[in-house]
Amino acid sequence: MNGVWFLVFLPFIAFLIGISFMGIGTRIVARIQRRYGPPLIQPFIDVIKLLSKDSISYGWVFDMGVWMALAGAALVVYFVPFADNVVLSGKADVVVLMYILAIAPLGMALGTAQAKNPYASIGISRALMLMLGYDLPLVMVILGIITYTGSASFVDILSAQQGGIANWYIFRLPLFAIVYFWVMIAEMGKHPFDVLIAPSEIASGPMVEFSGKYLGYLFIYMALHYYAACALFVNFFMGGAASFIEFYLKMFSVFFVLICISAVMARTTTQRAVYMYWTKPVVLAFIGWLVYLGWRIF
Amino acid sequence: MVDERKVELFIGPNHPGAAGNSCMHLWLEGDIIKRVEPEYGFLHRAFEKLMEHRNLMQNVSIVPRICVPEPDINEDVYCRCIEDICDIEVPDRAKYIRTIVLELARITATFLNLGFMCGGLGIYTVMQWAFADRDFVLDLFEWLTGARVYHIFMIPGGVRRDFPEGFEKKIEEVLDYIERRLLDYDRTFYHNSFFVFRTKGRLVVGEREIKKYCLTGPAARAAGYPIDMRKIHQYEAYPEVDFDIVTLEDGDAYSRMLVKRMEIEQSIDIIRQLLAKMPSGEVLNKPINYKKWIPPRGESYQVVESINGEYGYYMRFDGESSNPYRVHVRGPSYTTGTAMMQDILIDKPIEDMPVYLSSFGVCPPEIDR
Repeated sequence: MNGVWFLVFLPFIAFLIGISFMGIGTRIVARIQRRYGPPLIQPFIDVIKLLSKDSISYGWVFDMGVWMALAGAALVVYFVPFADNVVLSGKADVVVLMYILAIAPLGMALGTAQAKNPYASIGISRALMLMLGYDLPLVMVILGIITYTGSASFVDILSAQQGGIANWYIFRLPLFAIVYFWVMIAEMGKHPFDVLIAPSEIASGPMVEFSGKYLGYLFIYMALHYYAACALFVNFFMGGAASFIEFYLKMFSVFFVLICISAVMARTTTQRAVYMYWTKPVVLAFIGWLVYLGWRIF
Repeated sequence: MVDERKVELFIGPNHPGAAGNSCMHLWLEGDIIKRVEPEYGFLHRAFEKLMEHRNLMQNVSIVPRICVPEPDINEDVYCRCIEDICDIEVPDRAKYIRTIVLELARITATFLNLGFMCGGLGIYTVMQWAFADRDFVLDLFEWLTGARVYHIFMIPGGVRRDFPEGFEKKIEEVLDYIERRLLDYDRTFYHNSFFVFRTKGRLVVGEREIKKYCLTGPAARAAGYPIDMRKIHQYEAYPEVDFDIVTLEDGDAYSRMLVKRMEIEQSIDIIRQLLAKMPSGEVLNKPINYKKWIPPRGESYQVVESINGEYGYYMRFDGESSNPYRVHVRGPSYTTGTAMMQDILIDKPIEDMPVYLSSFGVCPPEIDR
């Protein structure tokens, strides 16, 4: 599939993949918790139901915040290679991607700012604080990958990993893979770094003022976000994929490991999360720099 | 004047982190709590007044409702008050059955508390495990009493019925299962580094708080004070049982949760001891017609060890009516849920709020009697 139709349908495909991960994820977590869990299509039904409802808006900034979050997530999808299709390819698409990743949380911050709900404002301040924490190791890892490959283009990063499993960056750059996975947990808002949602403290944080359609849009945003995070890991470290099935299975394996880890973790605190991200992953990424890139410098 | 730097925040009455129908009104500076005002009354059912208008047998069905997570202690302490005032002898077997029920209830309440703690900290896996494991004990209660949560099983003079055929064997099976499961809880919860970080060294109480706020139960025992009503007041069949009071030194939230976990093992041990030397005989003494019978004039204060500490009933009969003249219930949450919260939570981050509510076992129904 290529051409204009692919461009149009890519966010929808990404949404379906993300929502299927949500459905399967809740089932797997339910099994870990020794219960049955909801039907696999439950998140999809939720989205349809929410989109058919009325919702409360607090003004145009609020509306724009939601749309900005959604648009930011959809834009990320276009920059991430989908199986063997690289949609928006350029000399430095990885660098662009680093900036685009920040759009969606800022959109949420914009929306909650007008709602003036203390739960939401504490939640979003935590989210931005957390972003501040995990951005440093994320940037270090991505710069490391760019330097190692010698290019900031996904096409080159993917082609460098071709020719067998041993060429995947997860085996050639395992330290970077660990740090990136660590960052992914916070990026997807999973335990133990779900401080921005924290139902027992701030009643789901930023989500608290979004109702009806807006909550539905946020569900779509979450699904796109799940897709983007897993797809980025597959493209950076698991050699991309030649076919859709391979791509889906690789993404799912990443997601599976992630939710199994997060299912047994307690929520940490914001300060601790930022402190943690600025120490251990940064040190690991730095060691990675020395080990993998040292020979180029000396 | 409105302080612009402070944010007002409500934990409750409709909030995922609220422990029941209560409200904590917080004033925050950033993430730090600067002022707390607990508000109660959302669950007020006027039990104490209601009991003055019903005879002592009708009240048996009311008392379990006072403390929702742990109903059996209410039945026991209510019956003991009446038995004390009216000099009713309780058969030995009934005392043993009551003690076993109380210890099983302690296990269910501890699992519930563990579940709330995990819910507050976001370890939903252990929360679901704890609620599911609690159900096995509730199955036992259902078999014995016909009800899962509010049993209405103990009445003045004994208990309603004897153990059914094969019940002791079933208790043993459930206890063995719980003992095996405790290892899983250790691995996933008590050794979980995030749980340790969130609770270790936090919300420490020492001698000052224990004296000022009359702390008993796990809160005192976790700080090294061996205060246990089962040893001090020697009620029911506890004098016949050999057990030591569990104490730890730190007095923080982690120690409080650890004391509760160690007391599950202790409860299992107590139940096994009781089952081994269970006497035979009647389980109910003097089946009086309570509608016609008027208890003598007198008053009594009896206590029981709940999972959060001393739980007491004061009752008074005036000798003219079969209704109590005055009943007063005093639970351990009365200070931890009100005055102590305003003292200890100041200058603590908002993340400590669910840890506080769960580790002290703040139970709003018991404050809003």
